[in-house]
Amino acid sequence: MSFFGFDTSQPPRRGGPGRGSGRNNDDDDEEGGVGSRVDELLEEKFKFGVDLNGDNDGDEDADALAAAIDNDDDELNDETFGGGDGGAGTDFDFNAGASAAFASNDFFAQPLNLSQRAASPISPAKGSRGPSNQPAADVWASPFGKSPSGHSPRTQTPSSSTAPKMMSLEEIEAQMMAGRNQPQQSQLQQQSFPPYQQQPPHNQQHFPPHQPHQQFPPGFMPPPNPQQFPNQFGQRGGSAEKRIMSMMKQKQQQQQQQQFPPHQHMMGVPPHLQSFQNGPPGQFPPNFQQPQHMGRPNMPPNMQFHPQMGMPPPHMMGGPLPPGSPAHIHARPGFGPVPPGMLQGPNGPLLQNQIFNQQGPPQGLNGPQGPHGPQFGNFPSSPRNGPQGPMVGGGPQQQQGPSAGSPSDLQQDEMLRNAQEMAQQQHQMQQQQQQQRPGGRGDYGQMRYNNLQAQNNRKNVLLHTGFSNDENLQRGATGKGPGPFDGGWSHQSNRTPRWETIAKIQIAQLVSENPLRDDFYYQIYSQFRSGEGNVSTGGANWKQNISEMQAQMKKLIEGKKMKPKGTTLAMEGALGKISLTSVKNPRKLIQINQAAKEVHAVPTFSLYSCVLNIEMLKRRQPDPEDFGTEEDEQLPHPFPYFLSYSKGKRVFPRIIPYLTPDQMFSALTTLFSRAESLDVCNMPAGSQDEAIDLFISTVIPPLVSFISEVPLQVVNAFMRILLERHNMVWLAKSKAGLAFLALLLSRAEILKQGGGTQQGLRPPAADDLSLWTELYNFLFASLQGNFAAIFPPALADDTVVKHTTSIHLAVLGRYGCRRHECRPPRVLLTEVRDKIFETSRRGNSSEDPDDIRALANVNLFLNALGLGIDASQLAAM
Amino acid sequence: MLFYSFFKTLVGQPVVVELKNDLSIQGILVSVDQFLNIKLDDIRVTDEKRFPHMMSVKNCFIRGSVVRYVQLPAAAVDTALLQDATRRENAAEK
Repeated sequence: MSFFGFDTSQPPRRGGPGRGSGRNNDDDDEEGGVGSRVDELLEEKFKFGVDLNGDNDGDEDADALAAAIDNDDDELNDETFGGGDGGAGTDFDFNAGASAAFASNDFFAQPLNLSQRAASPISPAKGSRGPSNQPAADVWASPFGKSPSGHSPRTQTPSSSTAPKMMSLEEIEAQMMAGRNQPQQSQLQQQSFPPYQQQPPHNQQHFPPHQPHQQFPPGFMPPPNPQQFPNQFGQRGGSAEKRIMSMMKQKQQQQQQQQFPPHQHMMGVPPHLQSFQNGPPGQFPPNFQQPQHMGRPNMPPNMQFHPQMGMPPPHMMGGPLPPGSPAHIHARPGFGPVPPGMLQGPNGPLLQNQIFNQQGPPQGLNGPQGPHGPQFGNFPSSPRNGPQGPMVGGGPQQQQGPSAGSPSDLQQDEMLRNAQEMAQQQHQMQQQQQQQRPGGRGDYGQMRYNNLQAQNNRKNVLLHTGFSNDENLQRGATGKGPGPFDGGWSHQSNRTPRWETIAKIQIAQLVSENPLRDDFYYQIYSQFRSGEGNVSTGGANWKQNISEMQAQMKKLIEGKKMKPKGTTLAMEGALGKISLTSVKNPRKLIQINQAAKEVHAVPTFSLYSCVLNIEMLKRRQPDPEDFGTEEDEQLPHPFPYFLSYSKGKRVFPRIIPYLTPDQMFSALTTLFSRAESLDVCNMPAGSQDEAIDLFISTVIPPLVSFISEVPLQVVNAFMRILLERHNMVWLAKSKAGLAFLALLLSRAEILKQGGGTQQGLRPPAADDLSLWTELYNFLFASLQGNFAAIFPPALADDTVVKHTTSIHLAVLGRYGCRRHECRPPRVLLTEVRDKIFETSRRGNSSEDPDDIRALANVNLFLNALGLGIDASQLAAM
Repeated sequence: MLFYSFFKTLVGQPVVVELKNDLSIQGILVSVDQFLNIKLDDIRVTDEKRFPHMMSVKNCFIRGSVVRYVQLPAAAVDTALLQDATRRENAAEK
C-alpha cells in the first residue's frame, strides 16, 4: 500500500503470535496478515486510475479484486485482532475522558483511558511515532479514530472493540426500526429529507444525478439514510436531544442558506458494504424514513439526504447530547471515507474524520481519496463489521465484488456530494455550536473539527482562488488515484514552496480589479508624493514592484477558472473566512438618512460628481449648463449662489482648467452680473468671515490668471457689467467686490502700459482706452465721497482688514492718478485723511508689527498717489 | 477599502493607536491590511506607564477590531484628496 506509505514488499506473512500487538505501532512495517493482500490489489487498481465520475466499469474490477482476496489466513484473525472482549467490556464511554481532556484545548491531551480501552492503539501518522510516542498514538487511536492528517491508515483493532460496537449497533438498528414509525418533527428540513425512496423535486436543481439513488436494487444495500443516524442518536438520548438538535438546526438554517459552496465528489460508500451484505438489508428502506429532523440540522432544504451525511450530525451532536449517546454514533460504521480533496467546504475533512471516527478501528479507513481505497482496507475486517449496521450500506459497492449490485458511480458521486454538503452543514452547525458554548472546548467533536478545518482551509483556499482544480485534489499527489488526505497541498509537491502559495492566496484577496476605484486615495496620493519627491529610493521601487506583482496576480487569477463571484460569496481564506460583502463593503454602523439633503446642495453635489468624473477620465467636459444658463429670473442666481457654499468655492478652481475660454468668459460674466447673489458680497463691510477668506483664496486666483491674459476689450466688458449692474459703493464695501475691481483695474493699467504685448496682444486701441477711461471715471465718481466708508468701521479694529482696504485704495489711487492730474488722488486723500493720520501716528509710535504694516500701507498709498511724501511727513504736516 | 487605502499612505509615519482597552501605543506604522490590523514598530506606551507589561515590547500587531482611535500626523494627510476619495466611495456604493 504505497499510498498509505507502507512498504509494499512482502515480509514473511502469517505473523505469529505477538505480531498483533507490535504491528500496529509501526506505520512503516508491512502490515502482514490478510490486509496486505487486499492492499496490493487496491494498489493495482489505482495504478490504472480511478475515475470517480463513473467511467470505470467498476463491477468487473471489483469482482476480480474480490476474487483475488486471499482469505487463507482468516483463522488468524482472532489472534491478530485479539480474542473476545479483550477485557474491555462493552460499555464504552467515548466522551467521558474526552470532554475533560479537551477542555484544556489540547488536542494531544486526549485521555489515555480511551485508547486503553481500545486495547490496541491505532498506528499513528506515518513515519513518526515510535513506542515512545505511545500516548500520542493513543490519542490518534481513540475511537474517533483518525489523525487529522489523514495519513495514518487504520489498522485493525481488536475485535473486542468492535464487538461492543456491533452489539450497540444492533441496538441502534432495533431502535431505528422502532423509531421510524415515530412522527417526525415538522421542520423546514423535513422537506429536504424526504424518505429515501422519494425524490423531492427541489433537489433536482442541485443534484440531478441523484435520481439514480432511488434506483438501488432492493436487495442492494442502499446508502444509509443520513436521517437514520440522527434518529439513532436522538432516540438514544431521548426527546431532549431531539429538541436540542432541532433547535440547533433551526439556528443554523439561515447560516447555511447562502453558503453552499459547490460540492465535489464525495467519497463513496463506507467500506462495509460487504458486511452489509450480511446485514439486514430489509432494515434499510424502513430506516430511510427515520425522522429527518435529526438528520440534517444544517442542510439547506435543497440538500439531498445522503447516507453519509448522517454521520456528521450525530457526531456533531456529541456535544449537547449526553455522553452516553455518542456511543452509538461512534460505533456506527462506515461512511465511506470522504476524500478531502473532493470536499469543498471546511466540512470535508471534518466529515471524513467523522466518518473515520464513527467507523471505528475495525474500519481501518485511511486517506479519504477515492471511493475505493480505504474501503478495501476494510475487507479483512468486514466480517466483523457486518453487524455494524445499516449505516454502511450503499456507496461504492461496485468496488467490492461481493456486493450485490452497486450503485453507479454517478450515484456514488451523488452520495459523495451529499455527504460533503452535509459535512459542510455540519461544519457550520458546529461553528455555531461552538459559538453557543464559548467555552465548549470540552466537546471532543469540536476539537477535532477545528483541527480539521484548519487543514481544509488550505485546500479550500486553493480551490477558491483557482490555484488547484478538483481533479488534482481528488487524485492526490501521486496522480495515480486518491492519495492520503493532505489538505490539498500535495499537488504542488516540489514545484513551488508553500509560502509562495500562501502569498498567492493572500494577495489574491487583496488584489482588486479596479485599483483606481477601490484604492483611490492611495493611488492618487502616491502619485502626488512621487511627483513631488522624485527621488527614486529603494522604498519607492518596492511600490512599483508590488503593483507589478498585483498585476501578475490578477492575470494569474483571471487565467485560472475562477468561480463567478457574487457580492455575497463567502471565501475561505488562509486568514479565515472572508465575505466579500464585508471586506469591500463593511457594515455601516451609522445609517445616514439620504433624504435629509439640502435641496440647494444637490446641484452642488452633482457638480462635484461631474468634477470628479472629469478629473478621473481626463475629459474636457463642459458644464455650461451650470454656468449662467439657469433661469435668470431665479433669485438668488444659481451660479453665484452655488459659489456661496464653501464646496462650490472649492470646486471652482478645480473645474476652471477644463473650461474653454468662452465658457470662462460667460462664467465671469455671470459672476459679475449676478454678484449680488454672492454671499461674500452681501456680508457687512469689514466682516471677517471664513467664506470671504475662502473666496479670496479659491475663486479669485483663477480669475486673476484668466484676467491677466485678456485684452482690454474684455476688461472693458467686465467693467461695464460691474458698473451697470451694481452699486459701486455697495460693491466696494466687500472684499470680493474690491477684489473684482482691483483685478480689472490692474489689468487695465497693465494693458495701457503696454504689458499686453507680452501676450501677443497689440497695444490697446484708442477706442478701448477711451472707453476704459470713461468707465474709470464713472467708477471714481461713484465712489467719490465714500472712500472713507471703504475702510471698515472702527469697531473692526483688525489691521488685516485695514491692510487690504489700504491696498485697494492704493490701487484706485494709483491708477486713477495716472489719468487725472492728481485730482482723484487728492480727493482720495482728503477723504481718508483721518484714517491716514491715525495710521501714521500709530505706525510711528509703536513697534507693533501690525501697525508697522499699516504704516507701510499708508506709505504705499501715498506713494501711489504720487504725492511723494510718506506717512511721517504727513504726520508732521 | 477607503481606510485601507488611506492607511497605506501612512506607512512609515509615527502614529498613536488607542485601543478599546484604553491602552495607547505610539509607534511607527509598519503595515496595515484590509481588516485594518496594524503593525507598529518601535513602540512605546504613551500617556502612562500603567501598562508595565509592555515595557519590553518593541513591535506589535494590533487586531483592527480593538482599535478605537488612530492619531495621525496632520501633515501626512491630504484632506482634499481624502474628501474626493470619500466622495467617490460614497458614489460607488450607491
